[in-house]
Amino acid sequence: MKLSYILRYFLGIVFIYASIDKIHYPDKFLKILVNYRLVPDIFLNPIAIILPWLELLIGISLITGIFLEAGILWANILLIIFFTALFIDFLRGININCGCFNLDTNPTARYSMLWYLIRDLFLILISIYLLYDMFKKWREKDESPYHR
Amino acid sequence: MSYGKLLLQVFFILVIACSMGIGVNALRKDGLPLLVKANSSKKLGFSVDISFAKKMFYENKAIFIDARPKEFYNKLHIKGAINITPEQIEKVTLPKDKIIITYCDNQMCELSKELALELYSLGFDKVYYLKDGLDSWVSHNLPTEKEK
Repeated sequence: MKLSYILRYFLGIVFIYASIDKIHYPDKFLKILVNYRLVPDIFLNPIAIILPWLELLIGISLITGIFLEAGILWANILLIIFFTALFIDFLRGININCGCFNLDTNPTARYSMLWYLIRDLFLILISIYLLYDMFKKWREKDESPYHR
Repeated sequence: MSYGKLLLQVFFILVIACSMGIGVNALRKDGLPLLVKANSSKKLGFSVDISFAKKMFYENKAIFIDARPKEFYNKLHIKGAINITPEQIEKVTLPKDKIIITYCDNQMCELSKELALELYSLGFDKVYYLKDGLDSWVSHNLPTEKEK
């Protein structure tokens, strides 16, 4: 099995897993969003309602291959946004529950901000690789004599 | 695949996510309001309105915390409320199973929101701040007291 397939399925499972708790407990996810102290109040509820479903669809897209290119692009966009938000709060000295995979508010169940950033960076590297692989395949197709 | 088609797919995923998120949210009993209305009677993230606070007060289900400095608390506060400013938060112990409602003067005051976020970071997930603060409590002729 090709590396890009393994990474695609892995990232897909990560996105689906990340969406489950958020879809189940939108009120808890909303509180975590508020706690980031980055999003204007007017956007908080729409983000809490829509974002988990977007994550779910990205996960499904990565696993099934339906609208795969768009799924990969969305994965990159979201992961970069998440990383930026975590990094800003890290610089501001705010220690939060990232709410990435579970919405437990108990501080003992929380990891350090540095761990969240490293984990997110690892996922960004995977998604960038998938994006690179996608564009490479496009180029190969364009250069193929059958596509001229 | 052209860039135009890719963008169309990206947009399509977003539209599906919006439709699913808004649709499911509308069907569920604990759904969030899509847009935060000023006079909503629901809990909105961390904020609660006066009708919710009043209900909690008379049913004795919540601890009210005055987030203002001591001199303001001494002059007038919600009956039975305790005084904790965001700076004092590390020193106090509160029951984690009870609803906590923080308040300060009015909508212009940020202390109650700040305190609610601090408490949330410490693992209190049933914490809210009273929108419009003590001003709305007084204007609704709800019980207050002065420190002797």
